[in-house]
Amino acid sequence: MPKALILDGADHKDPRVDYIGSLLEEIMAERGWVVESVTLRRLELDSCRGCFGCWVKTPGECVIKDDAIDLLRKQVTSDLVVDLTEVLFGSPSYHTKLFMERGLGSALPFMIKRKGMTQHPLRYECEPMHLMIGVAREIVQGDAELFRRLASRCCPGAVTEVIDSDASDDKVKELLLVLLNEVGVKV
Amino acid sequence: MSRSYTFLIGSPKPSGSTSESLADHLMGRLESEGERVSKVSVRKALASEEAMNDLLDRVQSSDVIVLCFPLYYYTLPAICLEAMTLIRRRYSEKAPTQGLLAIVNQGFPEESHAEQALESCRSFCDHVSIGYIGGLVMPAGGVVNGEPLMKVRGRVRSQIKGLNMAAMDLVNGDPIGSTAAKAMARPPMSPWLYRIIANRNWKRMARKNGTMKQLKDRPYA
Repeated sequence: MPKALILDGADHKDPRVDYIGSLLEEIMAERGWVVESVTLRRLELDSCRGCFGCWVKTPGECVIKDDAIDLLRKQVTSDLVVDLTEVLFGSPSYHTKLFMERGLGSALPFMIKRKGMTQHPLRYECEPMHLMIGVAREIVQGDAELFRRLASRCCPGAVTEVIDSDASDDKVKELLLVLLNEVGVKV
Repeated sequence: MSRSYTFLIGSPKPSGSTSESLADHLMGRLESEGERVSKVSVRKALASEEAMNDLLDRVQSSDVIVLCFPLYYYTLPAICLEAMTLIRRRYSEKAPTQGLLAIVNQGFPEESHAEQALESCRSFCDHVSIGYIGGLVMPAGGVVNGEPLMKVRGRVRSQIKGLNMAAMDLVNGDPIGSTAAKAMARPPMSPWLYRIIANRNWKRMARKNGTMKQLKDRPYA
């Protein structure tokens, strides 16, 4: 059965993020997915120290031994990863970004040129599909656009959307079905 | 009358960061022009409520915030986003500071990788109603590696020039000019040469750690 990992990266308990997470779980479970939800703010997650230990000391594994290790492993072995996050100045929330940074080891240290830009190749041949959902109380158009561009740079191939937290339940469900369809969950 | 500047060092590294090297150089130039400067580590400030209150107080009493940070995943490190959120929360109406200058350093040799980070800084300024003075990007920051710029010298000649020009813009109360930004963004060496040297360095470090054969391992697969 396909596996999905839902990461709630909201910095504070947010009823709207909770609702979207529960709805995603329900929809995917109905379609035969094994879903695990994790609330990042409840974990012990230290900040990446920029030591590059995950590149040259313990290749592929972060040297900071906290809850990120288990979660990074789960992320790699999932078929779909869903990030639920607030949108802050066009960037993801603190906790979403904190965990994202800890995944530096999923890239290789080497620099290559691709599409005219220097990049790091990915460590794993097969990356999980990625869905990034930003939840915003009032959607500032520039911030939403920036969030989408940033998400697609951080996770190439990711499907991204910003949802207005005041949107009706029906509208949210409709949007989630479209997004899940885009990442390969048959709805 | 001289102005006061608070430099926020946004590197998560405990010490020896390139963000701090760039900040120290600019601070030195501003001090020599009679300006008042101080420096706070965002990482340390987030470690205690007392230290964070000190950071917020300094922001309140400064004319200019200079946010120096490394590019992490095409934008600001998480710790900077958290500090920006706390600044916004304290000053929900309008931050008392007059303006913000962003200084980004990144491992990639192309300046454009930092576009989104600067846009986020600009968005932060809009949210707290302070002026965006400008953004300076140093590509191929690996050549500094936390050393003082005057020690690295030759390779960062253009960055030294850019920061010196930015200091004069700040002293004159002007936005950062395009000449300073261009000098700062000039790669210390050609991108292809930088990639070759960087890749050799990674291999050298792996050899030192005895992990040369494991460099491409997939421990979680």
